[in-house]
Amino acid sequence: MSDTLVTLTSQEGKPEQVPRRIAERSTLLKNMLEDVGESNQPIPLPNVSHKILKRVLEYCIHHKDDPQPPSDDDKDSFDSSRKRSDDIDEWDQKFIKGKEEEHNEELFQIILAANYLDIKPLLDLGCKTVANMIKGKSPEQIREMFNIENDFTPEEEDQIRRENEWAADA
Amino acid sequence: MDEYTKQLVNDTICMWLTAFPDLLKGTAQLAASKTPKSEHLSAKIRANSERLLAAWELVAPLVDDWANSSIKDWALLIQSSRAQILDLLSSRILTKYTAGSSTTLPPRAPTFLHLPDDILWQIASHVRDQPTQCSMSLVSRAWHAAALPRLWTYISIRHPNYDTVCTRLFKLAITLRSNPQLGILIREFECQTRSPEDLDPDDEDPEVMEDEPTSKRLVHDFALSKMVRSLMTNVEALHIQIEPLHMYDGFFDVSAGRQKSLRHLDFGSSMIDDTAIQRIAQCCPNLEEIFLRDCEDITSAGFLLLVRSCRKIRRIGINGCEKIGDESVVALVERCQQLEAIALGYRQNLTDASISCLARKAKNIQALLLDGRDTLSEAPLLELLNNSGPNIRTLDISFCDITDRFVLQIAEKCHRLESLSLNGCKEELSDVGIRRIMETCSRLRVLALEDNEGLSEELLGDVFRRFGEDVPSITREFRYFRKWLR
Repeated sequence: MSDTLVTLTSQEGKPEQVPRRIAERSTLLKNMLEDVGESNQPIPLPNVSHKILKRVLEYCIHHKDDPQPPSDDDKDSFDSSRKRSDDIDEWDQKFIKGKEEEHNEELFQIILAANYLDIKPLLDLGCKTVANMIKGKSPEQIREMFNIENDFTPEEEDQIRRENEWAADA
Repeated sequence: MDEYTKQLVNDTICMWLTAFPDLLKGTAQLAASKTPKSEHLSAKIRANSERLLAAWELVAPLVDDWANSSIKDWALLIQSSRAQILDLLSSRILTKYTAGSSTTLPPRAPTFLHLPDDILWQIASHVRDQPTQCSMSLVSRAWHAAALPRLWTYISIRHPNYDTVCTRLFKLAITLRSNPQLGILIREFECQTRSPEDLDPDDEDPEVMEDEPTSKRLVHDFALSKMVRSLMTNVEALHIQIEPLHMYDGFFDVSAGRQKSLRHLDFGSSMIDDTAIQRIAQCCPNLEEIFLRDCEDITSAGFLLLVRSCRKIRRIGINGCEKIGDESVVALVERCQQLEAIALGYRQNLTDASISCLARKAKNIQALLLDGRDTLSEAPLLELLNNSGPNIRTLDISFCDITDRFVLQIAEKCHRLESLSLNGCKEELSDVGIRRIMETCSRLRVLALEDNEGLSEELLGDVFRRFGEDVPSITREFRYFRKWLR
């Protein structure tokens, strides 16, 4: 049963066939498939572009044999408390880096897709990568990096700066 | 007025002035325009006014008796504008804007590249350093909302220079004073006149201060730490390593009443003494965790007061407390029935009596960190494994006279063991015991075996391959221990 193929349809309407086992790395798809049972109906994914879907599936194929992520109860266990944002697996690091020129845009898309499809390890990987990228950067640099609009009034910005003053070395 | 008070007032005002030069500008604006001319200006005046008032409340008790005329002028200026400020704050024009304080910024235009809030929260959860958290909070409103709880649940002020620490505490006090919402967020507070790299127990006398603060300054610093403490209404954990002792007295002022939310205290390697311990015993009835490593000034008398009042203690570290001996350990075990974890030994002159007591009476013990440079024999340790072995998760037995018999006993009894350190056992241990542990203790994640000449290269190679080199060193063991047991 795990070898049956599942058809996923991306935003553009392009179908993509994957083994069910791979598709089930996504909790969303896993639950869907369980609800539907045996069916050849393609599953539409209107929130994910074909390009990003291919990338996400690339990740799922590489991690097909990983154990399922621990449930929230184990979150505080010994092991996870020792995990830090800088220990990212080598393959994952290369994967998330993608093509240099469109890196940030693609990274955001992958995070959004992982969130939508509910693939926790990939979502974590994306968030950790962003956390590492902004480390030590100024607010301006972060805005520029991800094309974010500064929507503070000068007064608000001023106030937050003062509220944070204790944290900076004078 | 004596020289001492003059200096004190001077210092305080100087600190105040360096911290907030633009507040003075705000005061001038207030004096010039009683009716705010524009919305922006009035919002700014409001923000400034709140900070100014907060600063004034800090300084006011110290300037009621002065001779220096320039200080007098400043103080009068602030005092005279106080009524005006209050006036403005209460006026209707401004109440409109008071809703927009920074903790409750309404979302406005979406950002160009929009990430949902819950993803921003997740990203923020991976950002652990303060400068980046500060940067995040200034990117946009959405990022600010995500960074704020992170930035304010855990406050850390660490700097080798005492004056810098005080200045930052002062800024923190003023911010909390003018925005009490932020103080409510604080759960954990850390204040050290040392950087973490300096916290090496082998370093006997680290250079922590450039200048000894004058005894005059201490009155002010006492008020400062007291103020900061009183503004953190929900704080659960304090880590304080700051000299001089006046700062502790501020943090644990008895007049501030019982500090029921406080559950974790960490004073490792500090100069805290029996008086401070007595205060803690009086103020903190709900204490669950206290670390006093290398607090060499605490005696059995102070310690007994602590265990008599704080019966809920679960985790305690007293290693390196030279003046706390067997009778204190026995009292602790008898009073604090919920004891789960204890670190002891190293220059404590403990005898087998302490370990026997732990073995017989500490029914809930899950972690034992024992530095046996004192003369401890194997017998009571075997008894401990026999009674509590199946519960034990962390075991750090260093420099004790243990043999393979003990190690085999661990393999047989401790199936929940997650972390094991057996350092400095010289030639007593052989491969047999360790191999057996690697077979039977399936939950083991950390295995440290430094300074054991009896073990073969081959075994050490296998240990390295399975557990890596990420072993807790003696200097790190405390934080580590605290983190995973929490």
